[in-house]
Amino acid sequence: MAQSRRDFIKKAGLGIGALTILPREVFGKMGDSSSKFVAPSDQMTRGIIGVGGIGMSNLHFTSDERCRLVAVCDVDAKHLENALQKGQERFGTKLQSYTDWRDLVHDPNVDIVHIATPPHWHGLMAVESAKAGKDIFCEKPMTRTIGEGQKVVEAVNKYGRIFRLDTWFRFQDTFYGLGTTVEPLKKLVDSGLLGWPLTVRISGATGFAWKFFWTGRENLVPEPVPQELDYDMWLGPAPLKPYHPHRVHGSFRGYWDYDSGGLGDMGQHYIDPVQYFLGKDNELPVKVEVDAPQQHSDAVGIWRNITYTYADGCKIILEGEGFESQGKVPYIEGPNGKVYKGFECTIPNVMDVINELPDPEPRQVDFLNCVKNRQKFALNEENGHYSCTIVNIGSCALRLGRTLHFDPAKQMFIGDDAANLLINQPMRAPWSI
Amino acid sequence: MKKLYSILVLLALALAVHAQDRKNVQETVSDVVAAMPAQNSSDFATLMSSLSAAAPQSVADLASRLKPAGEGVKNAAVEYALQGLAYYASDPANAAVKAAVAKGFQEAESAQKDPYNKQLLASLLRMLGEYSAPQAAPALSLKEAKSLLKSGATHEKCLAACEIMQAQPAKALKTVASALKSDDRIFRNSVLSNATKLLGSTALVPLLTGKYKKLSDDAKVDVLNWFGNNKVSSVATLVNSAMEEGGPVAEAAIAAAGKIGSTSSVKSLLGNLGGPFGQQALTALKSFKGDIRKDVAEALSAKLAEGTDKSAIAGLVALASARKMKEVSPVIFSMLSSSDASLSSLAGSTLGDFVGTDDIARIGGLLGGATEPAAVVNYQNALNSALHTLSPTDKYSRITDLMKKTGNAANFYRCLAGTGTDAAVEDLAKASKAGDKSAFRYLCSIDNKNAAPYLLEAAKSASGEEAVPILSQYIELVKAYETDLDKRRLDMKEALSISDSPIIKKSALVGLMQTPTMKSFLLAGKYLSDPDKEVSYLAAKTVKAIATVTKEEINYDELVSYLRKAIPIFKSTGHADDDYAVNEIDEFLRNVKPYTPSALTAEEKRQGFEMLFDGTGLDKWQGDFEGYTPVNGSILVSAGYGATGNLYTKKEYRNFVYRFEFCFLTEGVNNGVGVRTPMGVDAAYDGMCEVQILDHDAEQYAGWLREYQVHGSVYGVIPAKRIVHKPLGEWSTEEIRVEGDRIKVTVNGQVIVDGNIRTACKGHNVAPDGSGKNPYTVDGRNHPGMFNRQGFISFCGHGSGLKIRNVRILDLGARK
Repeated sequence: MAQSRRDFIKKAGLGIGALTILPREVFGKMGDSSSKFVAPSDQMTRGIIGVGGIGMSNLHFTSDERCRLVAVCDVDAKHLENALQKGQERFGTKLQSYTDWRDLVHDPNVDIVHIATPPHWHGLMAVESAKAGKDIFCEKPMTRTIGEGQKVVEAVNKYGRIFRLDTWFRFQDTFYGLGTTVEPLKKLVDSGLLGWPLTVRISGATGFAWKFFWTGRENLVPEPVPQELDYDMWLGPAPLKPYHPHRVHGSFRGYWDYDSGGLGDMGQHYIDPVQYFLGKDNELPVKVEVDAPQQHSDAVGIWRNITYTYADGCKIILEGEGFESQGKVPYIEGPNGKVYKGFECTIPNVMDVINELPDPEPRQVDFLNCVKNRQKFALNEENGHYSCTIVNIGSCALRLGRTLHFDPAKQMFIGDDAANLLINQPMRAPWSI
Repeated sequence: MKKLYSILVLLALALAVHAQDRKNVQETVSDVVAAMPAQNSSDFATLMSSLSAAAPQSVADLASRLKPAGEGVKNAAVEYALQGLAYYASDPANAAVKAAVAKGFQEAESAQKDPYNKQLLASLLRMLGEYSAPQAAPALSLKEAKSLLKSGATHEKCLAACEIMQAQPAKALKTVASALKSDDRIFRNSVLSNATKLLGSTALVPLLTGKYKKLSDDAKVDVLNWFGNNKVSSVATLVNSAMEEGGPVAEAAIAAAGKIGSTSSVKSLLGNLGGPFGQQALTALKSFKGDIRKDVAEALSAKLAEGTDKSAIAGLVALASARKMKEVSPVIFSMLSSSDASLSSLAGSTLGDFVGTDDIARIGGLLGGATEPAAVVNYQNALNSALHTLSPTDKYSRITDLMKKTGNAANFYRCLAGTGTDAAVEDLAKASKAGDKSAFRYLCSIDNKNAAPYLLEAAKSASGEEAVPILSQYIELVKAYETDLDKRRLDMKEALSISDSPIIKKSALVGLMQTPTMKSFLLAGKYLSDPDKEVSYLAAKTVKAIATVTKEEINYDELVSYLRKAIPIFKSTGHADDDYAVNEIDEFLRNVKPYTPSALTAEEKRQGFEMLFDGTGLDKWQGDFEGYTPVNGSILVSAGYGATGNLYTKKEYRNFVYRFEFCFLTEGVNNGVGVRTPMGVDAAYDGMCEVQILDHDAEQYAGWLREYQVHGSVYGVIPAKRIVHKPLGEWSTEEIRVEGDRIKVTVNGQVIVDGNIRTACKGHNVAPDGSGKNPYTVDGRNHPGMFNRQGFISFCGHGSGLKIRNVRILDLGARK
């Protein structure tokens, strides 16, 4: 069993002479405990798996006194080389580099595993990280299947881990067409002034683009795998298919094996805040309907509409690019009021009303603090799994091309074997979750 | 014998039927494949129902059409059909066909040789199977778990405790009790969380409250966090007293009390506002559910009466202001006149949060009398807030009323500007013109399009740095109010010509991004090499955004070169979405096709023709590059806003053969070819002539167009033979031959003018009597330039909707 660095320090006891990393207690006794200096053992460490796209962004490729980036992993030698160079330039250190993510996950010098691979790996890596005693920072979408999400929730809970899913509009930043943070929306919805049930329209017309350029290509002509790429490891649990550059890196989103196009990539950004302001973090829709051209077996296509209905009648309607409602359409529509793009509202002086209402319940929005205090992050494995499940039941309905009914308690489709077969999809040997 | 015979007949019949089936199946499959992918669910159902009726043969037939992937192999339609069929048959509504289709997939899968196609068939076959819930992962044995609980690493202990509790839920509380004694925060929280999942929060409450006092401070923090997260209202008393414990325990208790929201906690929380965890208490109270206004007002009055605890007062005011508690307003007004400067300024800076329309007069009085700059700003904010529910015109009249009552009108300018009314623009502009700098400052903040011309004028005469804020506001107004896209672009262009500040560049680029036209693209592209990284990044975003959304055609050369320039900019910036931008550009560029430049024919080359415009650029031209833009091989004449000008050759010509092609994009297009004309004049009169380009077939000209105005006419001098134009979008050829006084116009091979201008007007290009009426020209006007010996050749713009290409000339020089 892997040993975490913290355990390692603890077990090492007083044999500190041999260690370069000193336990905090030692520093406490050595001098002024109010000193701002962060003892190395208090400084957390992080490793990133996948340094081709988001993992290399300046948003994440960071290292500071609270958390140090110590390791990177990629299956593309060029990515790895770039990351090491960037590490040298930005932090003046040589990062530990890995080509097999399992080595990073089991590196005792890594506290937090940052999963920045394509989604088909997320579930597997998150579960393995939890089993290795790591806390987890995972890019959206959380998992490619509902079943993988369930496994992540289970492992994170059983192994006592802190998990953060990386989308953030439920707790910070103005999000897309709304021109505001989600908080005033949450207050407005909670106030009941809009009435109930509500319909939320996530559409280009309300400021949310579904990015249909992330569709796949059919009739790909196989090409030789570039020397720098370990394609077999890139695929991992995904079916072995002949290599083509469009399948990997920046354009993988267009293939069902790895993601589900704009729906997969943007879905959780858009839907997660909706779950939050509807107060449905522990709920899921009971029905999903799709209006789309037939989908290909491999390449993700476009769609016109995806409509989710909750048990209480609330709806989320996704409108595909080029199929948006015309004219002025509300983002949120209730029996007693509507909210449009830019937070324009049919309720007069709505901000006055909202300002007098209590703020939403405070949430933990500092991930490193969560790791320290063992409190759940605002967007964690549980609510993250729920919002990702909405994305995934949408992609199941889209692929099958039919209306599906869902049992939120069992997290299973009702009376549809094929849909349920998509909940847990087979993994290519030797991978399993 | 007879028996054998009948068997043979049956067999033959069966074979015949089978053969017939095969043929039908092939036809069905071919029909369906040709219709793939179905565009909607009803087409899908129809197509798949016919395929499934022919299962299992249809599956075999489809599968046999799959080829190993490779150059030129197009499996997609078959793949759509196969997946469609499998998914159709997997629909519970189509259970009747499932067995036959599944059989087909089973056979096809085992018959398939290509491993990848075999894999596809296997994956589809799987979808026709039955769902069975996955087996739960084998848990640790109780013995293993217990030993791991002793010796494992932290996360293993967490697992072990979880498994033990799940195996023996009745004993789970014991595990929790012992975990609370652990000094490992990870373990404590994990056990608490998993026990809650297993037993529900209520079951844990007695244990946690019972043990609370004996816990370490760290464990108390965890338990208090847990109380808060689970909103355990029964523990309010415990939580309230925990606030007295100080340190991290008090901090956790405050947060928990806020989440639990018991009214019994309000006083304790308010009491903490001035303390070391005042910020936490404020956060808790800001989100506290329920009506706490009375408590806040009372607490504030009490603290003010004591007058000592300034931080508590500040905390209470912050809370009251955050939740806009109007009830506190009398206290705040009284604080304004406090002799304690810290109290009066606190009241002043938050006043706006407590006032309504009833307070307008009172605040107006305060503002009129204020002299301290900070107080002025406070009262302005308060007045704006008190007015904010009124209509703009009501706001304006209330403010101007207040202004009349004071000698200090300038204090009100900011509020006046805040009304955004036309009247406010006029008032402020008038005062600015009279030299009132304060009025100008607020003219620069007003949200009204009428302010824009004043700002532009001021920016033009301002010095470098001073112009920046004025232009920024100008750009904001243009962005907000100018709906004509071409005018918006020109306004941005003008702002950019006045200042080269990066602030202006960035603001204008954002404006161009929202103005997705071909010309905005060209303008934004110029900033891709800007030395300021933020500017070049915005330029990259702008060209990408415009290229992907504009409906207008963009010239291939700039389109490709600007987008390629944008790629490294996106790559080097490393924002989260920039990778996607690069991908989007790559995808976009894959679908862009270059144009073929025009070329002289062999005959033209031999004769000595020169190409004046082959599509690649206007380097042989001068004049109005706004109205004449090269786009993919053609000159697009776009008389957008302010573009009605002319395009001239760089060289002057005397005798020549001039050839070009033209095409009308919209009805009624009007342009002309100026011959032997100076620049900047009307070629029809001050040049030798203008050869009319006109869509004379358009409805708008019916009934009144004069014969000397139809296409090809030497305008006002020699009428052309009227032709019928080709449909919109189709190209026509034209040749204009000018030698001495002779002019010959040929359109689409047909000569429509062949005349002599001098004889056409009997030598009188101007009226012999020196008047403006000339009886010798068909339009009755003077044509003073008619006998020019040489001049430029031009296109004379009178609107948009024209494309010109392949412009070439044979210069005949002085030759007669």
